[in-house]
Amino acid sequence: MLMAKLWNRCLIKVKLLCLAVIILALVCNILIGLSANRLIESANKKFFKPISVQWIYYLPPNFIFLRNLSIYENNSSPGEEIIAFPTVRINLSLWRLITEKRFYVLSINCLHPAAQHYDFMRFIARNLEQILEFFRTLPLQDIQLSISNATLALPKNNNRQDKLEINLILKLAGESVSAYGFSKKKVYLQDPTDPIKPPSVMKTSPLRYAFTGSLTPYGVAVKKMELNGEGIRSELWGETNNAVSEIKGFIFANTTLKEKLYEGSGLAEKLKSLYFNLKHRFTPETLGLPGANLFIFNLDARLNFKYPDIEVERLNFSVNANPVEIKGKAHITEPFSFNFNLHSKFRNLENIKKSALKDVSLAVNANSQDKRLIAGGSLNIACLEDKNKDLPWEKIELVFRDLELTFAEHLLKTHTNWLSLFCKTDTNNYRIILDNLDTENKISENWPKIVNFSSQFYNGSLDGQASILLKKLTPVIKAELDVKNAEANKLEGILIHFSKIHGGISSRMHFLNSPRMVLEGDMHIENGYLNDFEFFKWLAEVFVLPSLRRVNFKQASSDFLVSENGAELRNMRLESEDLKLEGYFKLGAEDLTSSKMSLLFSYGLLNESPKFAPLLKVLQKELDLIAFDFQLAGNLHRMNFKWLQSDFKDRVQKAIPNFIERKIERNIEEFIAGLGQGS
Amino acid sequence: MKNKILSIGFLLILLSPKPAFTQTDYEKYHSALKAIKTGQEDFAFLDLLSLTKEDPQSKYRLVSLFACGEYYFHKFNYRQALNIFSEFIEDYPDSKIKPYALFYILKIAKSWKNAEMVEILENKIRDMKQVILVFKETNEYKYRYTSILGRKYKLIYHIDRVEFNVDGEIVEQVSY
Repeated sequence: MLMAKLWNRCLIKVKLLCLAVIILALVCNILIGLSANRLIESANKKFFKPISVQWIYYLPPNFIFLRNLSIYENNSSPGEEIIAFPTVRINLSLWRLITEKRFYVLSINCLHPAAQHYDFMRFIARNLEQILEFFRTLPLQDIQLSISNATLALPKNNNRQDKLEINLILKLAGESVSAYGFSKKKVYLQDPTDPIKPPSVMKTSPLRYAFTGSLTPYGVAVKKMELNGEGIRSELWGETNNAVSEIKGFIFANTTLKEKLYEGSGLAEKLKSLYFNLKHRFTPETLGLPGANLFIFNLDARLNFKYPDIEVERLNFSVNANPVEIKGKAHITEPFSFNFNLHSKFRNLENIKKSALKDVSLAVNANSQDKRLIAGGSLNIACLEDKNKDLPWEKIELVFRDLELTFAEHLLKTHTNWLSLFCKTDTNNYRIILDNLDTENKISENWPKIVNFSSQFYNGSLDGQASILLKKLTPVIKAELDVKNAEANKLEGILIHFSKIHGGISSRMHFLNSPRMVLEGDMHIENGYLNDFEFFKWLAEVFVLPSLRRVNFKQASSDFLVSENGAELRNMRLESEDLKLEGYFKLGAEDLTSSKMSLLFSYGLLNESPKFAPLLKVLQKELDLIAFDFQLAGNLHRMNFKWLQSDFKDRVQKAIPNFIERKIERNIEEFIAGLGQGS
Repeated sequence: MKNKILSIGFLLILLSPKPAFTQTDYEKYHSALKAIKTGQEDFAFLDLLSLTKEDPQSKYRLVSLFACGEYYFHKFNYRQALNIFSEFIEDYPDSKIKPYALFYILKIAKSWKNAEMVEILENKIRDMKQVILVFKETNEYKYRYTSILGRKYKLIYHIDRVEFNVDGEIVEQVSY
């Protein structure tokens, strides 16, 4: 009986308490509802961009909820929001509310905020100063800020929608600052045959991050900043002191890993995430990275932030034991600009012992003009030592001006006003200049990357396609090129002998850089002429045929091969009125030549020569076309010459006695010796 | 008694062999030739080496120096052979048998697998002559040489190579 009475009394008290809480909640919510507009107006005045809130309500004992909070760029029209927060939960300190009669926020939890990736990044870039200023004006107090399941939507690609999911917890407790969280990519695949069916969802494994540090009078001391994913592991530490940040650390990465997608979020994955989050509430953890092939050690950076400028005073590190130094500056508000210089004494990312030491310098400067990013720069690579000639070149220089980048529908397009590529090998120097080079490349994570390109090319055009594959960490480039109607004599940068060839040249070529550098193809020139072309100039001097110094032709063609061993012209063919030529010509290391040519001269042409005229008299015009087959060898500037057997030679030998043969041979030898001394 | 001693002493001096440093270059040279004829190449070498060192102005020095280089080479003393042939080329840069000395140095460089030295020597050999073959298939170097040690040397030029020939056998070649 007594118990029943006591129980009834308790029940009544509980009911009264509940009623009181309900009444309190109702009263608070009515008050909030009445002053909601004022609250939102006040928030808009304090915040630098328009915001709107659909609902504000209070839940006992100490929670305030904001429903459908949105931040806008300009005006607060529905659909124009940059970031949308469906639910924001604010946890107030009840104690301070009662004792100090003020609202003290203990934690803010943003649930499922969402934004479009491009709009969000543009918003951050445009308003970075205001965002930093806003956070600077906030009162410094212990607080926890958490973002749960935030999504950044990437542009849709056909039936695939990628979204980045971000989870982050940031805590301020006294001077100590900590943060941890993880991100993953969600892939929504719509069945194109059934648009009504909900898309299937796949996820990548998460990328986890953690930060521990402390506030100092002038900035933040970073005890540890970790990044941990399937293909990356990094740890950084340092401090910021006013505008200057000094960071040290290391990074491991596995660049061979391809993105793996998992269906749903399995229990194992959830437990792993929970484990990681729990661990990072208290102590950071060191984890290894199996399969790492990229090691960045001794990272030492000093950055100077003077908004809107960021100066990289130094960024030094070693990547797979290759030292790298970077310096640069960036202006991060419009008009954007940056410039940086990179220098490295580089061997190889894979097998250092077998690789030659190279001096690598890269300088890039860029600025935005009329919403376009225009860049210029240079890349210089010079071999400092020669280890078993593992590289076919000694030096490479690439200079480009007015490179413009644009992104459009998963395509990366570039336009470069001017580009020069110079390559020095031990056999030759090569220089190519391209005007108005356009490239187009589909942005995807797959390899090889395919790049289509076109350019003006020495008053003609160059079109082609290149595929770039990463073999471990070495790029393997294959390209097919098509040249139309370029001015042949302007190609002397590729091969010096082109300076002697005039006419419109068309060519199809194939290029490969690994395992050996090779450029091969065919070329055709129509209605051109050779002017003092090395071989004909030599013939003109030896056989006193001045008209060979300029040879007009209807058609000339040849296959060619350029490699680390030298250059070759194969299947050469040339047709002119008085002359036909077939053969091959090779130029190797140390200017050593190897060649066989078959020349058909007209009777009239040969009759011009005082050396041939007597021979032709002997033959008494039996032949209209006279064939000479030659072999050449030795140094390009002092070639050995051999007259090969032919019908004409047989006839000449039969017609003249041996002593005349010997006399002719002696005369020619003396004459050529005289030429050599003269030159 | 005294006279007897004096006479014997005088006779001994007359009959005793003369010390080497008192031989002339002519005597050393011909002594070497005699030794070669009797198959005593080692003794011949000593005379020739002495001539090269002590008679720098001798007209026999050129052929003696070459012979010393040959001797060292065929005794597999490549270091000394290289020294001698290098001295030969330096002292007689316009000699007509200089090409044969170059080929010997090339063979030494190849045996030591000294790629840099081989490349330099091959370039020097290639630059020696521009070959013109109008009616002939090959061209022979004007100056055949028979050394005092009896070896016969010649160079044969083809369009794409030059052959170093010793006693009718190709012992080395350089390609163009």
